Amino acid sequence: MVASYTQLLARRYKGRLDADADEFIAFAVDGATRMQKLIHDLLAYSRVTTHGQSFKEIDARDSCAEALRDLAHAIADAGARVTVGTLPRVRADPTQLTHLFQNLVGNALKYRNARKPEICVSARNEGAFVIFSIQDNGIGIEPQYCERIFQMFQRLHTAKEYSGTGIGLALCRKIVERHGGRLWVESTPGEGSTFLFSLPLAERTEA
Amino acid sequence: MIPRPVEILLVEDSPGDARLTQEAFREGKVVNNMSVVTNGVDALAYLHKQGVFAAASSPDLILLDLNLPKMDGRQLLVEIKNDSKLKATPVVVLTTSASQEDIARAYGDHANCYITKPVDLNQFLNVVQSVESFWLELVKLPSATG
Repeated sequence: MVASYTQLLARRYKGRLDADADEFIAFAVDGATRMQKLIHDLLAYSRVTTHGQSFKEIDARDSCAEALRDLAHAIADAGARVTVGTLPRVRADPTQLTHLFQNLVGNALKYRNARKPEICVSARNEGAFVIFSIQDNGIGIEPQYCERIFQMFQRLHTAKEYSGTGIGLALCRKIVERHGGRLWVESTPGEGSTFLFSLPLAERTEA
Repeated sequence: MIPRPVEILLVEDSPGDARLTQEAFREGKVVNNMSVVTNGVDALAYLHKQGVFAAASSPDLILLDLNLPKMDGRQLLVEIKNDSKLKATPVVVLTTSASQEDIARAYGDHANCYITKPVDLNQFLNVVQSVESFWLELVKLPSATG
């Protein structure tokens, strides 16, 4: 409601009041939009546990493919190349696994630099777990911030530089931890980042 | 003798909030110059006059938001109050947080005072007026040389 009426104000009165009014309306529209996003992301975060489904044996390839379909526009807009390696079957909540891929690949796209984005999704087995990695060639993260970014609302950029609520990675970590895994990042500033997370392998692994 | 304008450094990442604060201080009686930085790393560079901030003026007063990208306000406060060249500068924490933990921690780290920003605009303007009356008119600032 708030967002709609501020946008209506903008449509009807932009350029017809004074410069200050235009700026105030722009702030109001921006604020309302960000509030909506914040509410949406906070709900998603709390629902990881309250709406979590039971774990099933699923093919991670399917979850990844679904996430990439959801990101099709963003991938095309960024002119990005996303390659996906062999991904195994895992025990997971299907919706949450898709969400996880969507968030991490989405971030890889968002935090790109001038280079053509190259994103690589792959997996390797480690005992009873599989370690997935999402590697990008984007802006990278300085080492002193590599743990901080997983905390709620802790961002490294202002909303003007890169949009975002500061909830995405906290959400991802909550999902991974619900599955008994771990989420972390390895990065070189200016060259790119690799986000890694572990999930339990499905009991019967296919060749 | 015309007193020089008071130099204020506002550390605030939201451009909307920064604009509001600037407007509110502009309406007051004391002439002031307000500079804005959007994160703790830039704030320190500004205070140490490094890089793009080589020509920065030393602020008479710092208004500090706690929730900032990169280095947050809580960490910046500690850095400022542990720096022999910066620690005498009064730091007014001006934040949306009303949490007891944040308040206690800020005072523990030697914030000069802590103000929770009211959501209501009129109340916010009153708060800024109070900050001006107190910090810019009533009290003596360490940097006051006339």
